[in-house]
Amino acid sequence: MPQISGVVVERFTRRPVRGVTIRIGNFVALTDARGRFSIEAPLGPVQISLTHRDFHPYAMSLNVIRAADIGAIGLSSKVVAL
Amino acid sequence: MNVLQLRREIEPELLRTPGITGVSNIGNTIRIYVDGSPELPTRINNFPVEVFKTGPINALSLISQYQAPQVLSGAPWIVPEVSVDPLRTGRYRPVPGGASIGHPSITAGTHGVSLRFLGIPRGLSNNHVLAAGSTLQFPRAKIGDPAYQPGPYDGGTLSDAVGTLSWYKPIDTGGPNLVDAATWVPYSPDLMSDEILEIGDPKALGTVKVGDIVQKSGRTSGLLTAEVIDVNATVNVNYGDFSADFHNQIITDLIGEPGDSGSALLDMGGPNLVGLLFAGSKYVTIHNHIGNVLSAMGATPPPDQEVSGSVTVSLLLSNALLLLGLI
Repeated sequence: MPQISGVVVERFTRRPVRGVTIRIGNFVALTDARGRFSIEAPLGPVQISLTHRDFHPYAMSLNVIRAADIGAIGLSSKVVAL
Repeated sequence: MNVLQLRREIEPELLRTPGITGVSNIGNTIRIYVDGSPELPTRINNFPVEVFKTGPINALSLISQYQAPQVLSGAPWIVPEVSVDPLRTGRYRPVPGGASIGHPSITAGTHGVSLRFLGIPRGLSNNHVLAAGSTLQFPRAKIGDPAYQPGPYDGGTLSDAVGTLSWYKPIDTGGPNLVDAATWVPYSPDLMSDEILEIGDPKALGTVKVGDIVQKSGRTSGLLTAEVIDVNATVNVNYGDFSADFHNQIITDLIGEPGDSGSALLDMGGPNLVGLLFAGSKYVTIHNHIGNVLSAMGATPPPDQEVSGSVTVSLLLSNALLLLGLI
């Protein structure tokens, strides 16, 4: 099964985010201390979702044809400037 | 067959399968922790299967540098890590939770917490920190061995001994374990602080559930917060020269480092003591439930005061006396 990898960053500061839960189907992975992740994905169209307690959830569609690094994904912090 | 009965049936075989690091269930979903890409079904007995990547799970101390140097080759997890806070690897008097400590034959781990708030005049850490990873099959330490603060890797020597090993639970390499725990007794009460660095004094015992936020203070990575992702996992932990299965474990998304072993896990309230960190991977950290640790010590809370997140629990004096008699 192909591996999809990437890095999760805070959208504005571009700082890596650790502990983000990545889901594709029944596969789950977390980002490491550098925001990196690697997760298995079935071939074909899939939904990848990202969740973290301090950030707004994010999801996108992928058409998996081979293993790939999908680069950086930016998450928006739930913290609002006052 | 319910999901827990199914787990009991499939766990032994799954845990012996290459690439599988643990098994759990979240509600009626079977969760299988993996390192690698084992072939797994999407359902087992009609229960959905979730495949959760952990990477290899290792004890998070700097074990056996001196006893088994061959373990160093090809085992990068025991390469000592530099602390984020150099003071934590220095000499502390009195010794607070979160500072370096270790048995003379290991490298360094963390002194988790003083148990005096429970009426137990002992310091808590891991077997593989204070008792050198003693197993049922191969004891590597004996009661009365010194505890160095800081641990030997951080420069601790006999002149830095602050107390002695007073109790440990041997790890059974052939059977299920619940805790990797040990205690030390200071030479004098003023050698051990009730404080945990950057957290303060624990107020009571507590429990956690999936989704709770928790904190730990450790020798290497300092103060970190994390989310609880499991409270009843069975995992296989690699100690370098042996491995062992641990049942009923807490898993968090905290990323611990070698040398953090022995750190106390606390909730964000009280703060209340909920667990004992002992292992982890690049993505998760494994903790014993504090209730299991106290039970192993023979210091169970009174039955009418169940350990919970909101209820303050005091150990019966008789429990403390029983413990004193045991150690």
